[in-house]
Amino acid sequence: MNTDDTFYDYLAGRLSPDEQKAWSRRLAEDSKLREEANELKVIYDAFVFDFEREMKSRMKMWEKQSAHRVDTRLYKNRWVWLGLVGVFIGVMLIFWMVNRPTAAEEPQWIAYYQPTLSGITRSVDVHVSEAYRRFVESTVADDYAAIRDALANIDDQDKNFNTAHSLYLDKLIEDKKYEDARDQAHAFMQDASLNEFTRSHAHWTYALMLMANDELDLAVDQLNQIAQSTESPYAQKATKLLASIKQ
Amino acid sequence: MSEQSSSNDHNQKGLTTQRARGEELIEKLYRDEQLKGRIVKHLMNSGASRELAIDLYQDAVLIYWQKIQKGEENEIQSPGSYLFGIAKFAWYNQYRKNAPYAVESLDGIEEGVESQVYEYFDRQSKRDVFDRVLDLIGDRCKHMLKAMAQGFNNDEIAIMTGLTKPGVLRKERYRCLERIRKRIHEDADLLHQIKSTLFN
Repeated sequence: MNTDDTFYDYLAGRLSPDEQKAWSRRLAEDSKLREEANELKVIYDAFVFDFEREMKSRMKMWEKQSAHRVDTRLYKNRWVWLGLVGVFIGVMLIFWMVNRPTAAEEPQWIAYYQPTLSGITRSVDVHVSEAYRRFVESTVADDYAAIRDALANIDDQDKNFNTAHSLYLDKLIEDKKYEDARDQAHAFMQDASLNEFTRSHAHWTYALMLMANDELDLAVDQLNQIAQSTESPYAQKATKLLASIKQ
Repeated sequence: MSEQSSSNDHNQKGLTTQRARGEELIEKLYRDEQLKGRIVKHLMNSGASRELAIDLYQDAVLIYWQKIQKGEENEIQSPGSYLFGIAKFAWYNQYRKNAPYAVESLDGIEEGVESQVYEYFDRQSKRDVFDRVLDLIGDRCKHMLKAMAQGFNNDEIAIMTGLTKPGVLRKERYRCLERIRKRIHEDADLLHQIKSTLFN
């Protein structure tokens, strides 16, 4: 057997290309040496394999240790994250406590009523008072006694005070109670607690209801007043109506 | 006796220190979390499970280490890319060789990777034969030959084994290998297995 170091370098694959060529030539020429080299290569590779196996087993152990460390870190992080979530919820709660709507602003009832005849679009606020809620419920239920009672109980500071009066007139018209609508509109025209717009609406309704009750002369007088008013939002409508009446 | 014991202690210490050198590179490579993360993620994106991706990374580190042991580090332009190439090639050739798009995905792999990967997996497939060969070897010889296979030079192995006198290491190595060869030849079944599996 060869004791030459280059022979072992050949086994380890550590020869230079020239040395490798020389050894390959020798092995090709010498069958005994070739057999010896092949057997020694197996022995050498067995040790390389053994070392690789040992190192792979060690890497698996490092991997387990590393996974354990990661788990520990995650465990710690989990509490950090839980803490952060807790702080976030706390901040949101404080924010809500400070900014939550006051009792007066809190929605108590949801009321919805849309008049169909007046041609005036109105929206009914969802945040309504108890009196206004009763007014809307009575209106939907066609309970006139309750409507009048509820209307009388709506405070003039209620944000739906004027809306309720206008809706009441529309309701009377919708139900073809033209005389009642006329009288009620007349009363509202002179009610100083109502705002300018609602009183204008009452004027317009009054004029229409006079016509509906065949009181044409009085209706024309009223329409003339509205048409001449620079404040009334119904002035244009009144002018057009007068023109068609004259025709 | 006491002198001999002290010498053994010294050798053991020396051995531990020297062995650490062989393993140091592997540990350093393996503990490069950034590189490992990048390669494992790539393999997982290619369809490998996390366990298989980590296993392949471990194989790649060992293949890379073999390359270094052979003194071929100059052929490696970038250790990261080379390791990446090994892992990628090992994945496609060991587990996805039949995939129709496997070849297209192997662009950019450095030269020499293929033969390294084949050599490594070929060695792994001969586990049974190697285990039988290793069983034939006594501890003293195993110690010396293992150091040789790990790429230590003669001087280092001499320190590890305590065979520091000139020529003694060579003679001992010769004796060990001869003894193993003799035992292989005495075991007809093993000899047949070696010849049929390794040299066909």
